Amino acid sequence: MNSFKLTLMNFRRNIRTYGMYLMAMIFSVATYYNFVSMRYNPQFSEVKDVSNYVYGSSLTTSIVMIWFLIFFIMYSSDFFIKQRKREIGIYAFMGIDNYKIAFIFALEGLLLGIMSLIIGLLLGTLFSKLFLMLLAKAALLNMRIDFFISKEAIVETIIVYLIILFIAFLKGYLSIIRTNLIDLMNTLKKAEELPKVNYLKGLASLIIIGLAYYIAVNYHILGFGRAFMWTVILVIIGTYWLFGSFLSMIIRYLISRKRFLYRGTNIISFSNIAFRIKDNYRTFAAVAVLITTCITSFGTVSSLKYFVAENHKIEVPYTVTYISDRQEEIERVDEIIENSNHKVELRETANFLFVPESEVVVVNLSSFKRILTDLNVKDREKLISKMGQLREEVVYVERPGILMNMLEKKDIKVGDKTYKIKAGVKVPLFGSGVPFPCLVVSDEEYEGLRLKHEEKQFNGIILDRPEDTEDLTYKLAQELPGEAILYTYFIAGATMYDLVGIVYFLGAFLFLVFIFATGSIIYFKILSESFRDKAKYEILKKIGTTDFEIKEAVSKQVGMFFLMPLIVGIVHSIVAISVLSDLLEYSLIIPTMLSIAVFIVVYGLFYIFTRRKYVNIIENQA
Amino acid sequence: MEIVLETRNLRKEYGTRGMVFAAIDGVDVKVYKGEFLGIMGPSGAGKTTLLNILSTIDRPTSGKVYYGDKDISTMKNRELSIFRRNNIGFLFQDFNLLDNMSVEDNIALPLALSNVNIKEIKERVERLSSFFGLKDQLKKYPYQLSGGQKQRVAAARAIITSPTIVFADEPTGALDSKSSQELLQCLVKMNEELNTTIIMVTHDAFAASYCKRILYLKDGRIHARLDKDSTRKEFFKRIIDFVGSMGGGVSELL
Repeated sequence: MNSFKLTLMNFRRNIRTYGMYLMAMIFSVATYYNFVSMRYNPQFSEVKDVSNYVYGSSLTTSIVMIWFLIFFIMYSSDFFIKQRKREIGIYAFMGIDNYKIAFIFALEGLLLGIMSLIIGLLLGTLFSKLFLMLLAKAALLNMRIDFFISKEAIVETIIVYLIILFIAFLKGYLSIIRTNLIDLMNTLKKAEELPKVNYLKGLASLIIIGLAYYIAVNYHILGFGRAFMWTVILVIIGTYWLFGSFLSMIIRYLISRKRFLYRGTNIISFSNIAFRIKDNYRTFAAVAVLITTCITSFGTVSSLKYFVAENHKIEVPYTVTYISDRQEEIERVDEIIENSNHKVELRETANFLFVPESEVVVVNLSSFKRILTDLNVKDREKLISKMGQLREEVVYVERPGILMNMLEKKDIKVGDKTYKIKAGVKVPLFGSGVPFPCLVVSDEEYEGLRLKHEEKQFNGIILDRPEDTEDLTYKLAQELPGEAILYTYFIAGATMYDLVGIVYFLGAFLFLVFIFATGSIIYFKILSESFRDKAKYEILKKIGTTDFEIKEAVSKQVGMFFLMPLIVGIVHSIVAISVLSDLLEYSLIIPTMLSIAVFIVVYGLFYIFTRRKYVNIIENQA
Repeated sequence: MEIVLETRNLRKEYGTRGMVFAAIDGVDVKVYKGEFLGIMGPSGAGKTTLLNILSTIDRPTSGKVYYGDKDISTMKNRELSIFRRNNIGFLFQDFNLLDNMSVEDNIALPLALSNVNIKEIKERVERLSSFFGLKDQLKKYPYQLSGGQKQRVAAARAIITSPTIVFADEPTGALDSKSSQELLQCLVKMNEELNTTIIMVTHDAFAASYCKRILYLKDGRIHARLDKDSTRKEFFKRIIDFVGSMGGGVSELL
């Protein structure tokens, strides 16, 4: 029997063990192909506005994925070889030389990779239309997507994967050649010893992470770039030490607390965890860092989307706005809209004063209330009641399109009169058609100001299908004079919002790939535990542990394995996103909570799956 | 005397139809309270199978096992596990201690699983560790102990629940002669001072000579019974003679 046949035989036998890895790999290949093929899609290149974004984000996401794949593939192939050291030892006993054994086992990994590459490419091309349709939808592009197979993308995917797989193959090959027979036979038998605890490192890890947080939150001290770099480095070191030493300290403490330990199955789960920390802390830390990356990047893109969407509401509350009080112009606009195939959903008119010296516009309280009600603004009752009766005070509505709250003024001058600013708010009012901050004054005060300042009339119209207003915009622009300041959904769109749509979509996709891979890493690790724990659970069964108790102990043990990196990862990412929120001066609690919730759900599914598999392994008598 | 364990016409068969092999072939045993019973026999006689059935780890093909007046063949799995935990102690040849627990935790394990009051657990661990001379080893882990110490830890774990019976499956199999002797003396001490009922499987005549009564098993049947009526040394001689005669193939004469 030649070695290739031997490999094939092994491969067939182990395919079930590889199931999870295969799925993660196939998914990653399919995703990678789609990321790349985006760049070569002729339909997307035709659309001038977005082709640059598509090109840029395709490039970025594929580079991120390459880095990630290197990590993932190396980790898994290393895992597989470690897993089968004993098997390798048996071959060695039978007198097969190391080179041949190394070839057999490394080839198996390569074969696995090539198989997932082929299946992944097939699925990737199959689903590429769906992927691009979703992308177009996310970017609000109105286009029909044709089925398209990109030769360049296929070639690029194959080359990238083959290179990574080949490196993994070489690495596995070399690592097997270098092992001694005696080590191979003893790997599984080696008696486990209780790891020593390094208290200094444990405490240092907390200090390092604290320092990293401090640097991140006070990023202005070092400058953003430097702060970012130091934070990442410190967080990674701190996380490794945290799991390596601090966690040992905690678990050791729990074990010495007999009141806690001698309560049902705690004694089984926590004794196991304590012994395994030394082997596992690198995985814990790697998973915690991956989770942080995952939640932070997804949190960032969804925050960005949320932020832009919120801003969009403020910038473009109407489909069409213009400023005019001339009856013939207003009638002309209405006529054009009537002749278009749009339905009018809301028509808003309001008078306001323009004060060029202060670069503000002024509106009276009752118009303000009416507009908020018409636009159905969230929490308007609360806002209005908070404003109360305005006397010598005004409410300052931020200029639409402003990214950050810069309000530092306590009072503001309008003409020769100075008003106290009661509150600054960010709500939709006129949209970017009136690109000035707006002061809300009481109706009586407005009457007084009206005598001294120029009054204008604002007209805003909301139509159905706002994204389809290109032709309408051109027609209206021909009719209206320049001073009417025409502003439409079409003029506002096709800029920031499209880009964010693409970034969000790709970010969400990367997020999925990351979760998948993170899940499989823990899954592998726990599975290898289960093989070693089998004997232990058999002893427990003999001395009268019920199946239910065994399941409970497993749930706790596996649960802690999932939970510990999750908690650390979530804390890290909350800090990261709070810095982002600080930068944008916008509360990102909702998108952050959302991304954490999504992550926990998917991650929880992995937990359930892993736990079940673990129970199966230890319950099947070998 | 009070009977703690009794079997009626016990059978255990392996294999499929047509190729049936009876590892246990109609065994009736009565075990009295405070006994130290040895089960001997050549390899393949069904010693371990019998022990597994008696200790509720395995189920018989037919026949009954009674603990007092409780029929354990009618018990469900979960019920059986808890019954085993509370009523039966084990000593195995390879100790079966959990490597990742300290001596103290290993001994406390059965009580901890039953959620016994912490004070009570600590008291019993304390008492048993001095009984078995393990006081200085409590904080150590199994990999730091000698074989004899490990087996004594296992013995402490076996009797911490004050079980009805302790089963010992070749407990001296992995020990050197000095540790074996120490352990056997421990078992005798358990039997005499704590009035623990012990059933020990062994093929070693020396170990068997510590028992009060011996059942000799061959081909799944009880072939002979030996009772200790004099000193251990004489009993040992009788066992040697007996086993020798078995090897000589003149068993039918006895």
